[in-house]
Amino acid sequence: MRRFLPIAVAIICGLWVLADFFVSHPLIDSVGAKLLEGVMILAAFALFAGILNLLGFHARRISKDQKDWGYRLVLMVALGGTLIAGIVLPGSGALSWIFGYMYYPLQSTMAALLAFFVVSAAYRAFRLRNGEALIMLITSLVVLLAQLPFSNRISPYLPLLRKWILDVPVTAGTRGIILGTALGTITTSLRILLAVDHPYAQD
Amino acid sequence: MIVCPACGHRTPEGAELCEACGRSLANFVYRVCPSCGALNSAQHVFCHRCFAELTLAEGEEPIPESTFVRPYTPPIVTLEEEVTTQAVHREAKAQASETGALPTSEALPGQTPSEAELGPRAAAPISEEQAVAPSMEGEMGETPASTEEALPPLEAAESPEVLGGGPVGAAGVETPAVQVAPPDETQALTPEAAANPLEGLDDLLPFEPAVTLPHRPSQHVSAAPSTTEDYEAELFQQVAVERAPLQEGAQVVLPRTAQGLPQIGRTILYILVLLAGVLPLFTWGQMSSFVQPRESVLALVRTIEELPSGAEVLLSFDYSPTYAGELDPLALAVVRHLARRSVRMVVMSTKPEGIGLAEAIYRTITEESPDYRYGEHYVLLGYLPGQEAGLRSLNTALGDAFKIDYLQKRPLGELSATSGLATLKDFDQIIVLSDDSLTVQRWVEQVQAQSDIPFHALVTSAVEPLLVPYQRSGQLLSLIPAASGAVEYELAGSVKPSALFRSDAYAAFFVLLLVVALVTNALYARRGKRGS
Repeated sequence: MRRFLPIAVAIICGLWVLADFFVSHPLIDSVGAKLLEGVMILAAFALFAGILNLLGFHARRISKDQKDWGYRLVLMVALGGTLIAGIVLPGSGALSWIFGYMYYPLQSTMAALLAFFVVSAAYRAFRLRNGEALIMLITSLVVLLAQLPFSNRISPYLPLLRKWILDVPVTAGTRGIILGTALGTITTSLRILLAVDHPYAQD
Repeated sequence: MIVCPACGHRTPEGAELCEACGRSLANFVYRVCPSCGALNSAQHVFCHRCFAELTLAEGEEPIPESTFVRPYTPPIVTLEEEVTTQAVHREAKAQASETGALPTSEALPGQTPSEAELGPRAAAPISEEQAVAPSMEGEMGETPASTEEALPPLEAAESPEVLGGGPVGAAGVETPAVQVAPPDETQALTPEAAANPLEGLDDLLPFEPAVTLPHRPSQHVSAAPSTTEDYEAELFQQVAVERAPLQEGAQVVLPRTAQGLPQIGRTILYILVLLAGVLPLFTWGQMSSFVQPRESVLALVRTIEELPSGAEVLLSFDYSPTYAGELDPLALAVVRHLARRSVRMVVMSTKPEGIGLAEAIYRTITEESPDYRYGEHYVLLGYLPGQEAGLRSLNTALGDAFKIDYLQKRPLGELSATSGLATLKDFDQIIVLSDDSLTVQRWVEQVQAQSDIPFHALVTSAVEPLLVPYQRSGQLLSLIPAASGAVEYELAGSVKPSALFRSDAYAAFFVLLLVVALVTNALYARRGKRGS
């Protein structure tokens, strides 16, 4: 019974949501909507559980007085401050201030550093060691040049060449990946629906 | 074979009574493996050592019982024997005190202290070779016919090592001869060891019975290895010695020393990147006059221009602040255009931080156009968790996914911007701004495939190639890379320019990359000519 019940629940829920995707019936639609609502609640609760886990993880290490306890303390204080700003003072604008003047600039700074790394990496990547490197170099430069907002003025063929690169070789590779992923998803879904796999049940 | 719990006799499988003592075998606890002789629990069906079936096959001969390991059972010492042992010990101690010899072991009546100290082997002459280099062959070589023959009962005179006597050897077990030296030599060689630490002390506590018991070396039965053991040993040797098949033919690849930029080159390069970034501050969009919008941008501009006033558009800000520098200008341009067309906008995000970015964008719009009000012209719904499940629920009923709005916490029915909206099918257009392809794929699979609503994706330039198949299939009406798309959209939609000056930075950065590629290969070719 301990194994049968979760498998039965998973199969019924999975088949019901699958039927909801293909069949339009008031009963199927309403039950399917409730199941999806449950998933959303669980997903939101997972976020909450993750915060609790994070707090516990760092609190344990602070109590053990590890050498990087200062960073952990800053993290916990920032997390607590943001939570207070969002929950206790929702309309005060404190959350927007934290987001706009702390989180946003720090993330943007990290992303801006990528420009330096990209140029530094280009020094190695653009070396013509063999024929493949030559193809990569030409393709990269064409795509980069064609991405400029005024590439039409440089040459009317540049956008066409870029379009061909994206439409033919890139699309072929991307479609292969998408189809492979879809087949894998179908296989995994069928295995779960047929109870061949039941990762949700502890053996 | 099952082991009698009373006498230890091995009785064939299926017997109810012990052949030796006649007791019931109903509660036997050990079963002997017919293949290798290992003792197994009574519940075992297969041997834990060789995995052979424990019930004897029909016609199969059991292996000789003499090769089985018989567990050691210490002799039971009665109180009288213990008292006698202690008396003998005291007598031997007294004699040793009188003669000056050390009572290094217990002596039994009828034995001199020296014999007791030396053990039974001391009487036998020791060859010179044995005295110098003790051979280990005697320990492992010969296989006794039976345990009883190989290991005769130990005499009580064999002294335990803990009492300072010479090591005790049993038959078939050689002990190093250097330790079996005569007592006078031992005393002469090791005077410290000869000193009796207990000498002069009276009324010593008697030794514990377990201590006074003669020391038995481990009973080592060197039965001939079975076929299974031979096979396991050979297999172990193969695994331990031979190279793994995956390693065969593999070449050891040493990590190459990457020829990176020298420090001075890196410094110059970083300064050039910095200059490319700040260039627009001085040129202020000189290249913008050369900008020519591409077809996908023009298509989106036309679509928005054709929207009637009061049309409903759903915008999802599915990107993080990491890519805000690339996507924010395009988002601002599109929202400005929609606001100018008096389109009602419903805004959400499938990423927790996305709604904060949307809030900042709409704050700018509200400052620019005070008549464009929250709740009336636009609404922020908030963050939608659940990924695929969340999008599916959005497709089913908007009110189930979002009960209240994000800023004013009011039910959606009370806000004029969302009053008539029940499902996604009530929207005229859906525009998703995203920094990863999976999010757009989810939207296409869970929403667009079900509702056939015109769907547009505004993405980072790195993501665009991964979504081209969806555009070619018609599921994405427009797919716009944000880096150049913002500049082109502002020009095509005649929106207030704020990203046009970026065209100078794009041009400078591209020129920089081109120069790096050329210089790199020039240096590389020059090094090649030098042969370095």
